[in-house]
Amino acid sequence: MQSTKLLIALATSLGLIWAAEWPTDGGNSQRSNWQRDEKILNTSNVKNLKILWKIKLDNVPHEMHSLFPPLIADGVNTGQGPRQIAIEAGIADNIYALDVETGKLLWKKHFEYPPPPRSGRPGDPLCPTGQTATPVLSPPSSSGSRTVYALAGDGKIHSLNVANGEDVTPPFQFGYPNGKSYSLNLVNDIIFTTTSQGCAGNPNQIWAVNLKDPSHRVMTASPRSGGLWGRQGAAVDSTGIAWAPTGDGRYEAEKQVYGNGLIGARVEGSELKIKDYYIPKNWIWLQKRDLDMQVTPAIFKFKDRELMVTGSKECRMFLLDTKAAGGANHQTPLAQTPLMCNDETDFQSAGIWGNMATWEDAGGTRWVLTPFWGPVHPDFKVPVSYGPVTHGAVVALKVEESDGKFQLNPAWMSRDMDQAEPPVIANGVVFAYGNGENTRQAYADRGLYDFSPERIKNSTHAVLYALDAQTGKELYSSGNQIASFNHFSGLSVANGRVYIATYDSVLYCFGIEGH
Amino acid sequence: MKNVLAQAGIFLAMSEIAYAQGRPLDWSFYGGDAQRTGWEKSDSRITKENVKDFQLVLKRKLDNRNGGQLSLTPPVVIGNLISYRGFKELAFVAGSSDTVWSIDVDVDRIFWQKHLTASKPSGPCSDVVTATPALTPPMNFASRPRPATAPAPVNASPPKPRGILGTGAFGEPRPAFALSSDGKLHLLNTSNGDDLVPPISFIPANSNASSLALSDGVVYTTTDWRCGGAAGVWALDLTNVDPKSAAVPHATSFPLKGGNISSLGGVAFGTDGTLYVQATELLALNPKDLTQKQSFTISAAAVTPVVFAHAGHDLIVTAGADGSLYLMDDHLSLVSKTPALDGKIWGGLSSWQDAEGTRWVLAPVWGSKGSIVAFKLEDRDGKPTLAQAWVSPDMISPEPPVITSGVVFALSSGLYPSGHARLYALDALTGKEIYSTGDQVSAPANLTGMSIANGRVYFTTSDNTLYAFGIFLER
Repeated sequence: MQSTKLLIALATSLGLIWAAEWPTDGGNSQRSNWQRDEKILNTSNVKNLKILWKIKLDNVPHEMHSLFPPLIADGVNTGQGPRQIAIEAGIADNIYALDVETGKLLWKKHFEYPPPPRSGRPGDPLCPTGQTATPVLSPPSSSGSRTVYALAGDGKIHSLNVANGEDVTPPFQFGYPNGKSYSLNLVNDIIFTTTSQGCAGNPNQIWAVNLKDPSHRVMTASPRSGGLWGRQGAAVDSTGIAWAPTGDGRYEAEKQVYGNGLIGARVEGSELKIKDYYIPKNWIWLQKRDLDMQVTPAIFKFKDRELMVTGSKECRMFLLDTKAAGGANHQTPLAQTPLMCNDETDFQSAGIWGNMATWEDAGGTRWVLTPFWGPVHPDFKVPVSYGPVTHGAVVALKVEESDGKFQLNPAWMSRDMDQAEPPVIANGVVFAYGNGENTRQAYADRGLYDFSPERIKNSTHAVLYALDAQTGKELYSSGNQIASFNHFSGLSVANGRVYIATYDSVLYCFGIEGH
Repeated sequence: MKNVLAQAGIFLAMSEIAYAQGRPLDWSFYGGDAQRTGWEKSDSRITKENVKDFQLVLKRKLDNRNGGQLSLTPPVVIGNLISYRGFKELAFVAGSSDTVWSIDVDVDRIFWQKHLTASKPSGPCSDVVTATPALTPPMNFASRPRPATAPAPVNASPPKPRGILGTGAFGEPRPAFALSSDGKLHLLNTSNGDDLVPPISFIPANSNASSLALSDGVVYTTTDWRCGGAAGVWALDLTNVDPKSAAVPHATSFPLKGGNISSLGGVAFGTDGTLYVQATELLALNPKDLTQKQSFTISAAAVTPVVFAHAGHDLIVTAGADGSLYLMDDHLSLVSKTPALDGKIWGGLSSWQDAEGTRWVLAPVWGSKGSIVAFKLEDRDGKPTLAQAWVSPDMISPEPPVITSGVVFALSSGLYPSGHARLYALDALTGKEIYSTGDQVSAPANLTGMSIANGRVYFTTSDNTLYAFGIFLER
């Protein structure tokens, strides 16, 4: 065993084994949430997961937000030699770099700026101030250096050297102060983000900037209704189209109003242009019940096509072709599921939230996975399940096609999880978690009362699970080891380590001892 | 950055448009408003073009103890309640078994039901219910929190405490008011049906009460002699009710000398809050203390007057036992009178204004050939006058109609007990039939009126069924 470890270490240092990275939220620009390069964790050993380290950071939560999923860069040349580094972003305009081997802090950067004149209402979870977007890593430069791009709460993009946190280039204005941007995506030198909730008067739209453009011209594409609050921002397809859900809004095609759907926009010249869109046929119903289309899609290759899946709080998944989302009328998906949850049609604590996940197994079967909150729908049938689901679960479906007709066929549903969050797949293992967050926004006696202190007080703690990706069988649970909940965060997986950060500003690293 | 700021401005402007078009509608009282017009001014889901596509969109049998006419009220409707179980469009129906049902109308499910009395008192009217519930006035979208334009306060603070009637702010709880047969007023939490305060004594037990109305924090109803109780107008001021206090507000009343008060609308309100009620005479009462302002002697029909503003003043229209409509000014001086119609005008009148500014008044006429008769308000010799414009196809004992989007919805009640009700949609300018439910309704109507909200027209039938016909909403 010891010799095997030595061999792996030697091979890695010589570049003979491609180490896994997690350079962006969701693992890649398609937001597949599939760690394809995981070699250590597997269905046999994840039962031995332990907390390898945890670190309490000095990040101060804003409303319910605290830390975002860390980014993982391997082989970063630091003053102390090559390191695998986790870049952890905090809502309070903090960037932390951690040595993943030891969990020790390598450097920290805090973005300073005068308080913006406008911000959200105190106590409102929807509009926290500060850095709300998970940063993104550049690919290695020709010299092997890495840059992390982070969007500070004043709307400026900072470009930091991953090795030491120093500015690579001066910050430049991209977003709007306290505008609540979502995870950054980086494709071909273009950074994308999305905004929602109109925080601080910020417009809801897709944003893009070309890093090669010296003027850093800000390009935007607006659906003209709704808010683009997909947790992982936009997913980018092979043609450069950034796809983002448009939340709660109206649809008026003749006026180019695309609320309650999914829009795709591409940079052409110096403009970001909407190229395509999908609107569910029942968008009026979705708007009426506040069942937003707000799930960042996952994009994947399937045979000779490029497909994507998305969903909504209604608790239905849609399969779309990136070449013609929704077909000629923009309202006909390739396939859609029945309702999987949210029989109550509740806007809170139910439905699909966040993003999708997808992977392909060794047999060539394409899987798509969704989390959901709340009880399973009484009419939803799934071949394999693991007890009553009342708080949430992960559902895995197979993408199947016959004679040009597509289907999303449910394969398994996980055990009950307290507000199941978007999973990550790695080497045949699905990592999922219940966030333990109190998601209630309305009460019988108080009506709408979405107030951060109340929700924080009533939240519990997150639980990490490892599931067999073929069957959904539980292989591991962290039980009570995680002390706090998290809100609008996520998982990162690379090289035998699973990362999860919580509201109390603690970053946990789970893994197998000895690897 | 300048570009960004400009875009922000555009966004905010657009979100205002979104509000205006997407605003859910309430039907808070019998007649839709305090003037009892029956006119829903802005139901964008219904048009004159699409009403031909109406479908049966809700049919919910309620487990009311007794059937028969007057066994269920028509619903009052909250277009959007942000409940602890999600955004809901809820219809509230009261039944003769002292039960209030809350129905999630989009999915045709009971949301909650509340039995108001432990033991229902017996009496001559114990099998009927006539007091349609009422809701607090529609939500006030203008009070929704907006992005701050000034530096926010440093410390987070919870939303302000809310009184028993609320402020009408977006997302705030809104009570529903219901009257039980023991004469008590219930303030129900629309989210779960719980009593927000202990039931408050309002009118004598077993009274024949008219639909509740709410104006400036005061709840009003009327009672008449038919159930053995005292006839009168009743008011209960809830503006200062503290849910944590043992102090109980006391009702005030104005005695009536008798006569048939329409139990559908009861009182109608002027735009200045004046109450208009018709019993043996037409009366105008002060809203604060129910003292009499004016009266007009009439051989009265059992109708609720309708009120509308015209040239800066209120006009009041009522009906006499002679089959004529009486047009009065706000001092209850007779302005004009129509020729007598061939039949009795029953229940209440309705009114709306077309795009050209013409004011219309609609009357349900009972007789050998019942119908809806429409009148235009015209200026003749400097005097407002009601001129007959059209007569609908024959109907059996029609209910007071409701109007929206240039369409009049009229309900032929059907012969009791063997017939069945039929809903008609008529062109409001011509009376031409656009749509009819045919034989889809299997029982006579309840003779308690209609409601309209968000693309649906509601009524109840004597077999304890709530119906809604409207525009299908894809789910």
